[in-house]
Amino acid sequence: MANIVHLAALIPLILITMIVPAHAYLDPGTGSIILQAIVGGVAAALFVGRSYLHRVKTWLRLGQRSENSEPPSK
Amino acid sequence: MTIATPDPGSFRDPGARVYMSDGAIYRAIMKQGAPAYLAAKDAGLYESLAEKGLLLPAREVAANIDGAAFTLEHPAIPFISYPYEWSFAMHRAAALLHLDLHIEALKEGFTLSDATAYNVQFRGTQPVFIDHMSLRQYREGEIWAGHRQFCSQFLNPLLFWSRLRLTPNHWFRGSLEGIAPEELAPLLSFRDKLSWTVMAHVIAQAKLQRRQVGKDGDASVRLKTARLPKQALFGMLSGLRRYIAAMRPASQETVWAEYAGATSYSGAEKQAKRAFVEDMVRATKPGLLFDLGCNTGDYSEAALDAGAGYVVGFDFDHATLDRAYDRFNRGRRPFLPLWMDAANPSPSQGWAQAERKGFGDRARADALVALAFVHHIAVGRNVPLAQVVDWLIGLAPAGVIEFPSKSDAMIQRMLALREDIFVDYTEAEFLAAVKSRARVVRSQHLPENGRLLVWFDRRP
Repeated sequence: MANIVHLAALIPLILITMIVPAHAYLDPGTGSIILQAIVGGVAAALFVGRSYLHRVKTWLRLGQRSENSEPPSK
Repeated sequence: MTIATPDPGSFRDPGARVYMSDGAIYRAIMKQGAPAYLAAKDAGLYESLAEKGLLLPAREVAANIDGAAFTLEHPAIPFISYPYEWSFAMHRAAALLHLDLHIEALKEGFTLSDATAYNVQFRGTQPVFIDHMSLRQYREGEIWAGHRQFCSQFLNPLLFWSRLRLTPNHWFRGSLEGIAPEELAPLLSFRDKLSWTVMAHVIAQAKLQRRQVGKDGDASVRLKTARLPKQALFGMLSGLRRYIAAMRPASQETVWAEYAGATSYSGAEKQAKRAFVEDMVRATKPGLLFDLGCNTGDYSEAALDAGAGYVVGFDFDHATLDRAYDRFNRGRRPFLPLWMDAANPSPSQGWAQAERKGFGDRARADALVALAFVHHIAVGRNVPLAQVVDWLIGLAPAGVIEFPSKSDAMIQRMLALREDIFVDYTEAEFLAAVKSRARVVRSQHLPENGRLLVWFDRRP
């Protein structure tokens, strides 16, 4: 699932990178801020998706002891 | 208690300053930084992060520092290192520590105000975060302020190793803020870009950085109001963590392949060298020992076994440093491997040339070991032999130096394609240079190749 979301998310990213750059120099953080506003949704979707996937896996392994109860971020 | 010396590298945050006094480290929390400090302290954040080994421990002490609302005392870091002195394995360990700390803090409602790699230091092979005042309360929906800095100082240097097959250290040393996405982006191939992490954090960020969005006045307002939901921040941090944890330097396979056979102590020569080093260490009892040309750390290990408190190993070869890191990390031993070209050690640089200290200004070693080292500088880099000896003996009051004569196979190989201009490179000249600066406690020729080991001591 993660791969499909990544692939779909790459398309708008590729479109962004095709925009011709202007020569004005901006604050050091500008690119980072816009990027976060754009990719934040994808990151959140992946994070939530992975959490659910983890829960399903844990549920399927009911009998076994889960090594940690943290979200799959670790 | 009066604390006099402010650290010249601690000036960016008006909320706190670091001071040093008699080997201890103090952090003055100014009135401006007091509310943030109290919020984290009352939430038990510092303690919980320190217990997890992520944050340097701290305790409040009474002190007399102008303008300080609180003063913290920290355990000293035996030797401060900078990201441009780290090998790949260390840089990756530092990046993962930074992300782990951020994720744990976020779970408790706090975030990091920046992402500078200089806030990560090593105790032996273990990274630890040292800047308590970078931790502040998380505001719902705020963007990750340190994202660009994280990319420039952690992700991009690591991509140098894994994608470009280059060491980032020279670039990082020249550009103390790290390697910006706009600088890395043009160096990457099409294949390198076929990755979500590279595409988003390097390529897209670089393009967006260059785009003009400031044409109308609304742009900066829009930027200021940009939001990143907490789940998305968790997602970015954990995504980067997964990606970085899986990173390998492009040449890692050969490194590990060679590793197995490289660490055994075989041969009379190695045994003799090891015993010689151990004798010097037992007699000198150094708290801090420098191992110059440490390679994978055979003699650093000998020094630790003989009772040295903390060893900093320096080498020019990154592959051996990574092996040394792995070796001592397994045993959690107090050994710090750092990259250094001894003919051009780290300078004092940054603001007022005092922000990042040079190699010679950081700590005084109690002893040193320089085996298979002298000829690389004296013959390999044309530094007069007496100057090499002078520099070495100046670094520590006692130690062991190995001298291979010109007939040595290694030196013959170094001279194979060049003229032998080193008329002063003789054992007699070497001994004379040592004796003019220190006592020779003991000297010994190695059994097989005839190299000379000298134990010097310049203390009265």
